[in-house]
Amino acid sequence: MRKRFAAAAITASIFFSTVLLLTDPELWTVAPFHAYVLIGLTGLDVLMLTASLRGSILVARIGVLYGLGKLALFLGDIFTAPEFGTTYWEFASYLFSLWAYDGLLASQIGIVAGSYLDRRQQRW
Amino acid sequence: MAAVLAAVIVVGVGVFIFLSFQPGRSSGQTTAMTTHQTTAGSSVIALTLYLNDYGYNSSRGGPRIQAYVGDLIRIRLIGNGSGPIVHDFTLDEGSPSPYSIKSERLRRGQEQIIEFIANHPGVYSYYCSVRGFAGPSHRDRGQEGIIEILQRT
Repeated sequence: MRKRFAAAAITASIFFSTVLLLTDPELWTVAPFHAYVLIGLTGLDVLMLTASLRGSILVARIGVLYGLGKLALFLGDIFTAPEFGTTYWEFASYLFSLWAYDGLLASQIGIVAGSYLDRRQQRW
Repeated sequence: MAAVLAAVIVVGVGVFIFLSFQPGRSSGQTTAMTTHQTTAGSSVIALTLYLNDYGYNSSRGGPRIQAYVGDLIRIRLIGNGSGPIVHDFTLDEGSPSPYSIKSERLRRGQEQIIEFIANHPGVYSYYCSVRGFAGPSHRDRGQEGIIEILQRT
């Protein structure tokens, strides 16, 4: 059976990542390394989505940890503020002002919740 | 598992609300100073531009800079963007103009002085060249101004 909850959330995550990569000029101007990491994570999302759509149990098994890990990574980005000569609060304000970043965080929570629901559904 | 999910959601929402209500930064100095010094037939036009989000010396647009052909234009650029946002001063073919002036991208507190001779008369736009692959650039958000080079009579 397909893991549709997690797949939907991973699709959203890919969408928000792509929007960030395309529309955030500061990402490429100031922090290109962060952009490359985001590209890598988006690639992982694509792999997870493919596995999910093929009915693999991988997503249901590791989806919760995967989503939590990425959520921590994206929130942890705030702590790189000194790299840009700015305060944590300013950098956090900047990040949260980007709707794609907010969507990205929400979609990670969606991956966690979706994977959990898919796993529960599988047990039944 | 449900408890972990609930905790993650509560912490996430809490962090979001907490960070959303932090006071904003001060707007900083936003006045321009222009001085004219007459030398042999030409002048030195000196001014300061604060590179704000998303304007020069203001939150949109920029001051009109006027000079005569042969004048030396000296601009002191001071980065004043918020957070990680950087800005620059560009006067190039994208303006469009025959000049090829482009400053470094400055974050808040960084400074650069650029100088060039006004040797092409006309009215051109100077702008911030920071842009993503898609979506509005800084220029699209209003970060551009006019520079007018007049023919000396």
